[in-house]
Amino acid sequence: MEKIEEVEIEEGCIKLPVEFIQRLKHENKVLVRLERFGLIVKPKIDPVEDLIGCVKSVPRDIEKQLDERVEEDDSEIY
Amino acid sequence: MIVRFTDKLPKALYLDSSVILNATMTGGRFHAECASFLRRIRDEGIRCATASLSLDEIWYILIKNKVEHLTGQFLVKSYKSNPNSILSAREDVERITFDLLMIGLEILTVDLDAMLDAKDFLWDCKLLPRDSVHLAVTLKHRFKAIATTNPDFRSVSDLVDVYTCNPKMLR
Repeated sequence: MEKIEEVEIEEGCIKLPVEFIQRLKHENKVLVRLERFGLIVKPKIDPVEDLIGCVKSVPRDIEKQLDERVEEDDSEIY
Repeated sequence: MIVRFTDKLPKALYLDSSVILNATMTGGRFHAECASFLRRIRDEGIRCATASLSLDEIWYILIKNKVEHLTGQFLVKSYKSNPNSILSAREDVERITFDLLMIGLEILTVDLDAMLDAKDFLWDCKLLPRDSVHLAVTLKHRFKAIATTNPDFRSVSDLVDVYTCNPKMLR
């Protein structure tokens, strides 16, 4: 993740370092997030590609888990 | 009508959470098919939407996946003994929520009208409550097609086109 340690705020606008802006390509989107430790700005890759396969998991029956989420978890109720 | 993921796509599509989760999680039974489907939607510029309810479902499964992997216990049991356990899924939930918004997925609100329609679909289509809500929101916003891997949606194929890759539904 690309973090910018320091930014300036001027007339309500956030000024980003020129070097950071120059690295961006025309098709890049920028993702800005305010985190506990500050503002994070990073070039965003294609969000579809970022999403696909981003959670490594063991084989799961997602359809069953969506249907039966209460029954599976609430073994203490009955 | 039941339609294959590989068939011609409509201009607008309601995405069920099952498709998003299968594309996201490598262990999903339909991971490869859903990943290809999302790429196709992107490449063809199809307008996509889902109900706010889907975010709840996606967050839940992501948290469940992470907590169970780390603790070896069911989510609720682990959560009751240590509520902090869900923090382990924070990065996944944040990343995927942002990705969905960046993709341009429309998040549709579930209002009272939709809930009252959903109540009727419980009995008319024999759907479970959350599936009824998905159908109600789909129809309320005039979507003519829904994409899902949930076989329970087979019963609504006379109301909307149901896009799927689940062989149980394509039989």
